[in-house]
Amino acid sequence: MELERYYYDNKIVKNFLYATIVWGVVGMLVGLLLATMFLFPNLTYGIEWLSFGRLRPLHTNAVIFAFIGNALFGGVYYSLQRLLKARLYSDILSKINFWGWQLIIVAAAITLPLGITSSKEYAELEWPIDIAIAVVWVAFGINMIGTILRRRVRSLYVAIWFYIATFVTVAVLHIFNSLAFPVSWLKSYSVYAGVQDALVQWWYGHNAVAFFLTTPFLGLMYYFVPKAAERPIYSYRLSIVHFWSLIFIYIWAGPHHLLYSALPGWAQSLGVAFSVMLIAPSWGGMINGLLTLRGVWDKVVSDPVLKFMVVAITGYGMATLEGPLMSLKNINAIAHFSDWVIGHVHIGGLAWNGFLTFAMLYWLIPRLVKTTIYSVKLANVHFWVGTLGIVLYAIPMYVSGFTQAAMWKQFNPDGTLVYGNFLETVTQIIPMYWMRAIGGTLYLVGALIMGYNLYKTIRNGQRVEDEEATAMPLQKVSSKRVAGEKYHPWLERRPVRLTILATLVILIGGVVQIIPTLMVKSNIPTISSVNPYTPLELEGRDIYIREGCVSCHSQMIRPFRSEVVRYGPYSRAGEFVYDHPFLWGSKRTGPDLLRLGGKYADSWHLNHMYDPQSTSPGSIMPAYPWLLFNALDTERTLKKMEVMVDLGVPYSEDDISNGLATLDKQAQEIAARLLEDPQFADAYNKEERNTEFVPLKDREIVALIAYMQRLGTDLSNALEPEKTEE
Amino acid sequence: MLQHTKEHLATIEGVGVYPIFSLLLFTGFFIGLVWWVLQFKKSNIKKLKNIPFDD
Repeated sequence: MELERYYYDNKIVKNFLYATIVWGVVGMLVGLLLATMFLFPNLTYGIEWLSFGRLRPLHTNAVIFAFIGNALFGGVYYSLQRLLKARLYSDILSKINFWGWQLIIVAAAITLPLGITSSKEYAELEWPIDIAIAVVWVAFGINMIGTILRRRVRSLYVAIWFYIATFVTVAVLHIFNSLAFPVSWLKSYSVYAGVQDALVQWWYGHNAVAFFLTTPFLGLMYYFVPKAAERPIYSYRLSIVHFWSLIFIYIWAGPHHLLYSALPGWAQSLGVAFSVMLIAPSWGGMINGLLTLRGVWDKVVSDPVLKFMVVAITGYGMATLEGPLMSLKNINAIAHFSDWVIGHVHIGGLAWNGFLTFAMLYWLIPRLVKTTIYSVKLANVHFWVGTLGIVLYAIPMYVSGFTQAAMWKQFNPDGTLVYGNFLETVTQIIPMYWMRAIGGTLYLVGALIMGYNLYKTIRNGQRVEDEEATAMPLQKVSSKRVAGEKYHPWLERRPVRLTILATLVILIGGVVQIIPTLMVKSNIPTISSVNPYTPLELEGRDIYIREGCVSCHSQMIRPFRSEVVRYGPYSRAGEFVYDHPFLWGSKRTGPDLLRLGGKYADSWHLNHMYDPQSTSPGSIMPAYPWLLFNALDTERTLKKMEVMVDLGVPYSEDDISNGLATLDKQAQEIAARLLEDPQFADAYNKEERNTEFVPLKDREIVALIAYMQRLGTDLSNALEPEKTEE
Repeated sequence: MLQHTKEHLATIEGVGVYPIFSLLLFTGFFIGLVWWVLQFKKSNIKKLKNIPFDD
């Protein structure tokens, strides 16, 4: 048998790593802009596409899919080739993977600021982009599995199992959560409604964190930490237990998003128990990573790569202890909707994903350009500035989370809320938002220092070229187990079998979660007073979606005394049956809006959208002045209603044929009420009646007011006295 | 969150089987996994954990 000569594809790795740096800086910059808008809400006054609600999904998508996504592909493609002693299966697929992914990112960067969004968190992109994501992801999967099949190493190293689980699970999650009926090329409605949509979305949301931000990075940890420390992983046995139990349990832990909800109490508790059990494999992995450094702690002092790794793995440990704790009901009652969640995700994002990515970049790029790092000193500066940034980011978020949640729940002896005005609980935590912005700035400065350092390194180095290697081809062995071969070693040399088994393992948990989800639909009791939205309200709801109001306002009142007193009757499943998509939200930067309808006059809403600080002094809500002038686009109103009918919303044929007339009538009524305000009428009458003039009734604000005045009103006041839990 | 769906999932016939089944399944899975891993030969483990250094 002869040695085979082949070349590792380094150029594709280089492309992904450079893209990681560029998109990382972009994503962090948008994050910093958003953090600053908590302090100066009208920083981007009047610029629609730079408004908070539209930029927030841009930030999350940029850091998750552009920064971390590119790092994931780069790291996987580098390690996969070397662990398998084979060039990537197809150069064309590699290129489709790279350029396709960048195109998707650019499409996201254009559509999200334009308000083109499905509004489902971390899955905001509209359906054509969703399809592109599926195609590129499958290209990545075929490329990976093809490489595995052409390998020259018998056994698959543990990192590769994590990569396989990542590919399979993300594909399943993405497809099921993105199912939607299109209205046009850039607008669709989720096939699920209300409760069901929420359940599918959080099954996705929870597991996207697991299988996009966690498993691939654990694979990278199992490869790059031993390489950087120059010693094998602490315990290979532990890594096997880590892998199988992690992918098994993670999918089950979804029910912790159903607290104060769905399942019977003891079943909920078991959902929590699974989340708590998740600590074991997570910490098993963390310990395995950290103990790999045993005996080389002296190197950690001098080597920035190892420093970044230590903080990354510690961050992983912190986030994975915190997550299960937050899934305990009593803690969840405080953490949910508060800044605590923001602190939690940034420990994961900044420390675990961010620092592991930085470590990988500092280790890999000098090797690719065949030189040493330009400045170890600068890398150390980056490490300290970044670490300080994480601390200054996370601690204020914990403080503000606890503070605000406690203020929300505080009662006077007479049973009224101490902080009945939501705004009081916001102004209290502004200093924390200042500190968070400073922390974020430091983190970004660190990343810029890295960018400079790596740029200089690349300039000093050589051109990145494909690397020559030689290895013996793999001898054919029976596909059956050979004499004396144990099961796992056999499985490790049967990649397709391993993939199928991993898929089964993740599907078990997925199916148990999804079956009750699908059955919910037939089990939601109809509330006779709940009717479909009027055409104008439907359009108003789409403006609410476009402007990303859901980023800061929930529509989900939990059965706590503090929430019922503040907002009104708690949410019922039957209220949301026509909500494609659901808009429950996950964060209350402003108050819950579920029972907003009828609370204020139409003119209050108009003034509030035009200048929030005029109606609510000290508010940190940005102004939405364009809504007062933009003409409402009713071109697709009827089409929207037809799509809703396909989704099961009972609009009659008459409803649809009279749709535009109904819309116009309701708009005229609202416009007339708005003009009763003399001050506004005066300003309106002074507007120049030129060709661009749009009558008030035809403006977007009218539709939005129609929707906001409808919110929560279907549930009649004749409700039984509330049972609440505190 | 999701308070309101409680009774609806509860109406699924035999929904209580799900969590019990889940717990037994995982416990069995985990015990099997640990037993399995302990069967590995030391020499084999050594070979496997050194794969990243053989390039």
